[in-house]
Amino acid sequence: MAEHLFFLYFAVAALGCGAAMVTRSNLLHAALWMLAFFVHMAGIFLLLNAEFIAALQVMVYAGAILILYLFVIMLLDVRELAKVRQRHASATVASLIAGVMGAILVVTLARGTFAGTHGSATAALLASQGNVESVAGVLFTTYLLPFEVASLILLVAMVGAILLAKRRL
Amino acid sequence: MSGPIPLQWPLCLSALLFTLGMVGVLTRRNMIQVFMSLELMLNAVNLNLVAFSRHLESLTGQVFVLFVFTVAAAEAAVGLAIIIAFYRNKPTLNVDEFNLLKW
Repeated sequence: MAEHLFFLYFAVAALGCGAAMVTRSNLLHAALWMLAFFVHMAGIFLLLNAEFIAALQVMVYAGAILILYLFVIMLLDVRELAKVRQRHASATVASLIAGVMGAILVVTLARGTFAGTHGSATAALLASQGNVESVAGVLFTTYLLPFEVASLILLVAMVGAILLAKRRL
Repeated sequence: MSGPIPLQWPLCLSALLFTLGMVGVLTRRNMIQVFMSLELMLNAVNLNLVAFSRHLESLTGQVFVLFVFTVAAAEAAVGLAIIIAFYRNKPTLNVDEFNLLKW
């Protein structure tokens, strides 16, 4: 029961923060709403038995990515940017199309039944073994090669970001 | 309301968040805010993966969230670097003026 109430709170708050983030025209305000959104998403992950993901959400998203956004926003002239008319010319049509798509998705998902082959990672096993240990076990055995490729992606992104942002090499 | 949270709840929330992100990407003119909306959509996808990971009692979904995190971090770094490089050439962030490659 308490679990359901917490989920509802986090869901409503995440939606509210997301809506505020999308609609603010002041970039700094939008970035701070994004921070609140990430933290509430971490709460939802926590409720869905994904403690490791919740911790990573706070560290990577709310910690690293958000700070990157704030740095870039502060490097640019926010006041000058705010003068640009914010809404796109075809904003109404675009919102309408997105809204229809969202409504179809929600109706379909709410009425659907979901079958599939169940794995071995039951909630009881995760509770006894620990979430981080279980995820690490899968990550470093079955998905070892994708894990290494992911580190390569980060290296390429780092080199690319430096190359792009540097004025003269 | 007893037992665990039904699978439909996170799925519907994820669909709503994805729609919100899509509205942001389609309607905002500010390049940075378009990127922020993109992060919102990626988070919605992560929520789906985690919800199904719990429903199907398999950790594969959570491992894939890790990969989505990696790609999101790379995307943010490279995207913001492109924004800075662009801003240096043309001091605007309006997506309508991102047409340097057109002729």
